[in-house]
Amino acid sequence: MTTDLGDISLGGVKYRVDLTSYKEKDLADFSPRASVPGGSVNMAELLLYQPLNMTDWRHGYGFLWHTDAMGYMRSYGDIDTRQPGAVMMASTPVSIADSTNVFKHGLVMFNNVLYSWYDGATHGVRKYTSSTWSAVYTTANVQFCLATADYLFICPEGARLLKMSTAGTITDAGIGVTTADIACMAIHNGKIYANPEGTNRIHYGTDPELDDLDTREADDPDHIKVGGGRYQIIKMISYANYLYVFTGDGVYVVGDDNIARRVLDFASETSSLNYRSVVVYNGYLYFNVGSKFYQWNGARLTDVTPPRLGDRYPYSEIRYFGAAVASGGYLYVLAQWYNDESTYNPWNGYIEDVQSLFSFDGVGWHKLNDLSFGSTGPVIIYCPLIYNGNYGLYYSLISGSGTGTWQLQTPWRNVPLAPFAANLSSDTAPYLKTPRLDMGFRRVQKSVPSVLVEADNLSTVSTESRYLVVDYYVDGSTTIETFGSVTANGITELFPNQQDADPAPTQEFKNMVLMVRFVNAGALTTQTPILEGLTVRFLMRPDVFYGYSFGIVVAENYLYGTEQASTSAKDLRDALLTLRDSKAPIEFIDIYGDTHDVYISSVSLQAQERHENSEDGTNNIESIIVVNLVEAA
Amino acid sequence: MAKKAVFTPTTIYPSKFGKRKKIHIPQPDYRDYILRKRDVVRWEDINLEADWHTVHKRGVRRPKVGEDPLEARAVQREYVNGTLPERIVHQYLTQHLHMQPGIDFDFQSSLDGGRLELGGMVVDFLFRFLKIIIQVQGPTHTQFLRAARDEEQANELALWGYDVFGLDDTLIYDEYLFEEAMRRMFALPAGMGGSGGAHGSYEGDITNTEQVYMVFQEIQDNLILQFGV
Repeated sequence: MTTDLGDISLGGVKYRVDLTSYKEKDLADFSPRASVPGGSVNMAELLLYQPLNMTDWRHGYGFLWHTDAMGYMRSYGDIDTRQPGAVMMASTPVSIADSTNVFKHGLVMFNNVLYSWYDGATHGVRKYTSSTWSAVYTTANVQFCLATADYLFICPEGARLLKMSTAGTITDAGIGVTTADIACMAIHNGKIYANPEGTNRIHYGTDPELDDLDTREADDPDHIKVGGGRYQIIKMISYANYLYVFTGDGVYVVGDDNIARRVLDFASETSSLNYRSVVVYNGYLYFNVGSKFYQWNGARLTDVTPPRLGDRYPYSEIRYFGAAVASGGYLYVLAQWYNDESTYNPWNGYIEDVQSLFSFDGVGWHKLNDLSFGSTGPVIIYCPLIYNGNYGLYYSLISGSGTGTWQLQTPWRNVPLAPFAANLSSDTAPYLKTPRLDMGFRRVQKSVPSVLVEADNLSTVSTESRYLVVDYYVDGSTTIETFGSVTANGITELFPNQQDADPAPTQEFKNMVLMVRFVNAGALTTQTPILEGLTVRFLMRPDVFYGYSFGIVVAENYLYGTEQASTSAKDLRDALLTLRDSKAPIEFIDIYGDTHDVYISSVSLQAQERHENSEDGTNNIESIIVVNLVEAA
Repeated sequence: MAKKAVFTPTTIYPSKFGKRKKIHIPQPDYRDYILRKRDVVRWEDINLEADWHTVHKRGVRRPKVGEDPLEARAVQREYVNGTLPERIVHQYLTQHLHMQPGIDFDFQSSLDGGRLELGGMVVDFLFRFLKIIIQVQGPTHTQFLRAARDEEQANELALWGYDVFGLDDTLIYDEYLFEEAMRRMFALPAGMGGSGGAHGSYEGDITNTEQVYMVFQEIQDNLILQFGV
């Protein structure tokens, strides 16, 4: 069969076509309307562009892709995303100096006064009144303190249990000198339970002054053994009418029959980092095992570990949990995580361990403050933390290298209040990073002409100077580009590529990450810029591909110009039917000589005229075969 | 495409078997003055196939593609056989509130015989530990009989110690309203405030039971002084 005569070529065979039937048409939509899996895409703006709205961030951080209308990727610095319909700066902590003793292993409120204890270097118990720390008990190291309405029970290391009255008088507690060296205590069901250090025993007393407590095994026949004895008790807490005891091999429940039964087995994950966070919040018991954070309701265990921070490998995750406390409808926990944002943070990038205050609202995790930074590798932190509505949120961070910080956030409320970080430059300002915005279609190019930013509480007064800066990067690039600054309350439209001298009017991408910096440039510490909404106007621009349709003249020895092909009609027909069945794309050379990979999507034969049989004996029926081609894009 | 002329008879001729009769069509007293009109464009001269000739009555053709945003917020029908709003609530409970179906809550739980016994009832979401029930209300729940039945059910469940919450499907479809409703239902931080506000002062507030007792004591003393009670 001759293959060199014809207008087009299909699968290496040339065909003559009826030129008036030749059509070429684009098959891809010009700009389809996307709907995002997480929602918040408006289908119509009554204009060419489609808006993607982000007006709430309460589902917290950890959303790498925009799969949740209220989620975001991560934040840096003092950022509070817990408020409905707003993002603002979180209150910045105030460091409280304690020249004599900066180390605090535990905090407790007794008689409306804050007390601390420390198990090391004979620091004992100290109290904080009138913004001053003073010594209360210095005879020995203190392992634990428990407050009741009438007494503060002090557990010195290797010494007898003590009790301090509201008048500050310290006297002995317990039956005798053998009631000593208690590591932790808990109040439950009208009793006070105590655990001698290094043991798996629990003793209890019912007297408010604990005069009936004896912690020596031989003298107290009512003591409770928890587990087989290999693992000592770490913590105890009362939850859901049971006493929960945390040991190295798991979680035990002590019932009314004074028998400890193991309900959760973590023997394979024994670590000194377990159960640093144990707290009851919103009806559930929360605790950490290593770098996992669990929720327990008495019947089932759920993993509620905070998600990853960021989109760059190695991913930033929480390494160590510290103490936790529940208050005001939120769970607060101090934790150490590893930051690897240096390549994405052009302002003050750092790669190091960070100790931060996290908040959980039952739905999402929020990182409120980055408190301290350790640049010399992982730092084991001890994080006592307590909340008191009168004064604020107290905590201390003590590194393994012997340095520590002791801080207070006051007055602490669910809605952030002064003081806020001030005198910030755009390089040092905290920021919020959105998820990768792919509009639900990762492989499709989009075009953005502008973003709309809704903001409030901004100021252009030089002494205040609060504003937002919106930057972005696309497709995982390390190059940060800018939309510009928002300096006026209300809605501001920003345009891309403002870092360039001659900005291109649009930005094309497959996914885009917006970064909003909260700049409090003035000295005023009582105000914060507020972000209320982000709207990205975009146009989906899928790659174009084409379809072709034409009629092929199927005739024996057809004429083409001045030459004649040596083909039979049946040969031509059979060749097209074979190509129609091709599983792989076939080569198509159009009438202009351009080559495409196509499939034949349909073949439609219309017989025209019968002739004498061909030389090879086949029926010679002249036909027009209309074929449709689709480009394999 | 050329328009064909339509023949309109002005008179009707009776059949040859009948008598010729003129039909009178009732006409209103007042008739608008009607102008006969006709296209001045010759359709055969219009080339609709021309590439530049594109008619967009509703703008550029732009089909909606991608997931249904509501379905994206819902658990799959193959996993939970329920209506769309029920499946959205189910997804929120499991994905955002970290609950486990069958333990934290039962979906379509049968109470007192369910649908099998007369007087039984089926609730949408039953939280045995929390002692609450969520009923997803469809568009017909305001009809008299449905409303009466729902009220009777709620009363019965209240006797058993359950609080019954109703969620309209329209509320569930609005992700922000739904978020608020769920947070309030499960006592999570919501947009209702309660933190003392930005200008409040905890220091001046009554903060312990002793002070509360003193305030009530003062109120009672005043009542005794004024009313002798």
